[in-house]
Order: sequence, then structure tokens, then C-alpha cells
Amino acid sequence: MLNRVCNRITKRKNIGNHKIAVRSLSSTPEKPFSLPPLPYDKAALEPHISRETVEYHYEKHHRGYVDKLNAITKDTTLAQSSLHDLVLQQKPGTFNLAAQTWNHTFYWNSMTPNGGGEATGNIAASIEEQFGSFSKFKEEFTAQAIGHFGSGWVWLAQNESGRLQIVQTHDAANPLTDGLKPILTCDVWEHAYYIDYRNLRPKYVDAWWNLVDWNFANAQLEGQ
Amino acid sequence: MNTKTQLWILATIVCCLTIGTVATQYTLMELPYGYHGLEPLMSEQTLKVHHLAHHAGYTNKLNALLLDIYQDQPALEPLNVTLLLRDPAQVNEKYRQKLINLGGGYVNHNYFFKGLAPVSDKQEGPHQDLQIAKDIAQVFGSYSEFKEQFIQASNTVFGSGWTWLYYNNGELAITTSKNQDSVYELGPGTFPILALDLWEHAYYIQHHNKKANFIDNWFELVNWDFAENNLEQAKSEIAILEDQNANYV
Repeated sequence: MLNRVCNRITKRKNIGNHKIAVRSLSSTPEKPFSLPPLPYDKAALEPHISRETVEYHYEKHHRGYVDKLNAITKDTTLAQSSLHDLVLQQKPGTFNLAAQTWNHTFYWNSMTPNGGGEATGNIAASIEEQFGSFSKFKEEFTAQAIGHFGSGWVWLAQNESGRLQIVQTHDAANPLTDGLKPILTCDVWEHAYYIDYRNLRPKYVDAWWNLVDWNFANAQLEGQ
Repeated sequence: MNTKTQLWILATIVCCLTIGTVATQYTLMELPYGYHGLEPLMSEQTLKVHHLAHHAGYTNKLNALLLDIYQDQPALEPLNVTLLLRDPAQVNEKYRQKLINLGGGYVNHNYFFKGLAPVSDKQEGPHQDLQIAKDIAQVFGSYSEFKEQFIQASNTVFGSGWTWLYYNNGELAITTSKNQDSVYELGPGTFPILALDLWEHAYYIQHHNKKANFIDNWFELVNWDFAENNLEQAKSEIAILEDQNANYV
């Protein structure tokens, strides 16, 4: 049973990025959109991100977006859309909820316990080639994560020509709507770090580097 | 000339040079009620981090930015930061957004912290004798209708931002702003009256995701004397905006 659950989780992580957070087998007409399970235990990201943070972030914020999205799409044609399509449609009223649902799933998947370290696999070569070195890439990504003003996200994304880009987005915004393929994301809304780091976002970003899931990043590169 | 005289002359020269080159810099206000003064509605921890980390951070970063701006555009130096915020276009583009962010952060937090007062045995809302009580009744119908509208406006703020009661060219009104954007950017004739900080840092320590509880508590802490003062000043268009030396907010 545990094996099957683990396999299902692994499969979900390796699906192409736009299929993250598909409607699970448990979706119903009342709840067309579901909250995917966390890929790991809530305490598994410690000491970098505490169990308490994951508890609030996942159960209150992420689940909150899913619940509100279900409430607003219930009994409408929007309930038939995929989450990915709702994000691309950018309809006022549903975009924030859909995008935040999508973004948070991508965020949990961008991290893994005992992750971090330098990039490995194909992405390591791309980073080296396009940024000069991993440390230059890390410096640039960190600067953007720390420098982002207000709520938002910082992404490693890939454009249509295959070039990697570091992208900042405000609030719920997501690089999908610019035709980019997200590879990794770091949540820089204050709720992502306030319990553990208070105002010290640089410390949180430092900690995030210990959790980066390079397998997931490589899977996004390969996906559709 | 003896050494003492020489030293006095040197000191005088240094003083004159210093006065001639001191740039406008802003100070972090003290909280009139201390860090425990708003408990239990607003915790000591919340106030300490909000004031000593966030507000202090904006103060220090604004001051550093202003030195850069004054070097770039010396003519702006005599202008109070609120005048710069009223017309950010006068600041060169390379510093403009930073000025809005940091200047706004500094001023907005002044309004927020000055707009709070310990809960006494007072009833929530402005005392009926205050002009602001009458103006609120005139514009919104009643205090509770004002409160309802203010909460509704607050619920529209997604991400980081503020809700404002402000004086808009002759009338009280409610508006919201993103990030550290301020009421001043809405154009001439606008004056902040009360500010509610809806950035997560304002409530996360005490309330986590429960923004509504924070907003509820805030209404009990509002300093209506401060609001009354702001309204009075707005109405008479006192030139505190031109008086850099006044620690008006």
C-alpha cells in the first residue's frame, strides 16, 4: 500500500509541469479541483523549513486556495477546465485562486528533504552554459528572490528556444502565461518564511537552497 | 593665536561645513504606547518585529536612497518625502520605483503606528463629538457602515497592500493600495487619515493566515484622535508637507 502511494507520488512529480495538480481520482462535481498530497512528511524539510510552517502553508494557504477555487467554479463551465487552462485563461476572480493552487503544488515539488547542493543532470550543464557557473546562477537567483518587493514568486524557467531564465512574478502570477516553462520555484510571500525567519528573507532563501529537488527540475526540462 | 582659539575656529568651520551639507534624513518614530501597550489585541512580538525590523528597515533604506537621489538631483533635497511621493515623476527613473517603495514604506508605517492607541474603556469608533465622527456619518451613513465598507475593501487586497481612510478633495473616502504605494500618488488634494497594513508581516506572528481576526482587532485599536488631527490638517491644508523639520508623522 505504501509502495503504491509512493509510486503514485513519484509519478506525479515526474509528469510534465503543466500536469502538476491534475484533478485526482478523488475529484467530484462538488470539488473539481483537489489538493495534491505533499511529496513528503510535514516535518521532512526541517531544519530549513519547520513542520509548523509547512502545516500552515499547506493546510491553510494552499488548501484555502483549492477550497475557494472549488467554491467559485462549482456549477460553472470552469469546473470542466484543467487547472493549467484556468491559469492560462487569466480570468479575474479565478486566476488568483487557480494560479496560487498551481504555484504552491509546484513549490512543494521544487523541494525535497536532503535535496539541495549543486545542480545535477542535464540542468547542471544548461546552468553552467547559460549562467557561466552554478554559483553565478545561484547568486542571481538569490538576488532576485531577496530583491522581489512585496508578495510573489521567483522561478527558474525555460523559454521556447530552450534558454533558461530567472523570472520574478508578483502575487499569484506565473510564467506559464508568458509562454515559459517553469522548472523550479521559490515562494517569497511572507507567509512562506515568517514563522521561521520573520523578516529575514535572505536566511529563508539560503535555507531553500538546501532543499532544491534537482530531479524534479530535470523532469520539468524533459517534460512537455 | 593660541591652541584653544585655533580649536574653536576649527570647530566653527567644521560646524558650518556640516550644516551646509547635511542632507534631509528621517528618523524612526518611537511607539507612543511601547511594545506592550496594545496587548492583547496586538502582541509585543508583533510590534517589536514590525517596528524594529520592518519600519526601521524602511527608514534606513530610505535614508540611504535619498542620499543617492540628492546627489543625482540636488534640487529635490529640500522637499519632504511626501512631496516626492505626491509626484514621483520628478524623481529620475533609476530611483523612482525605489522611492515609491521605500518612501511609501516609511510614511505608511508612520500612519499605521500613529494610528493605534491602547484600548481603554472607550467604545470602538470615534467619539460622537469629534468632527470625524460626524463626517463618517455623513459620508458612510454610520460608523458601522463605514466599518463594513472598510472591511470589504480590505478583503479585496490580494498579496501585500494597505487599506486607507483618506481625505479626497473635500470628502472622506476609502481606498486600497498595493505594496507600499501611498494615498499621495492618487494626486493632489489627497491626505491619509488612517492606514491599515495588510502585508502578512502585520499579522502573521499573532494570527497566521487569519487576516480577518487581525482586522477586527485593529478597529478596536484605532487612534481616532490621530485621525481627527489628520482630518483637521487635511481640511486646512496646513503646509506640513513643505515643513521638513516637523515630525508630523
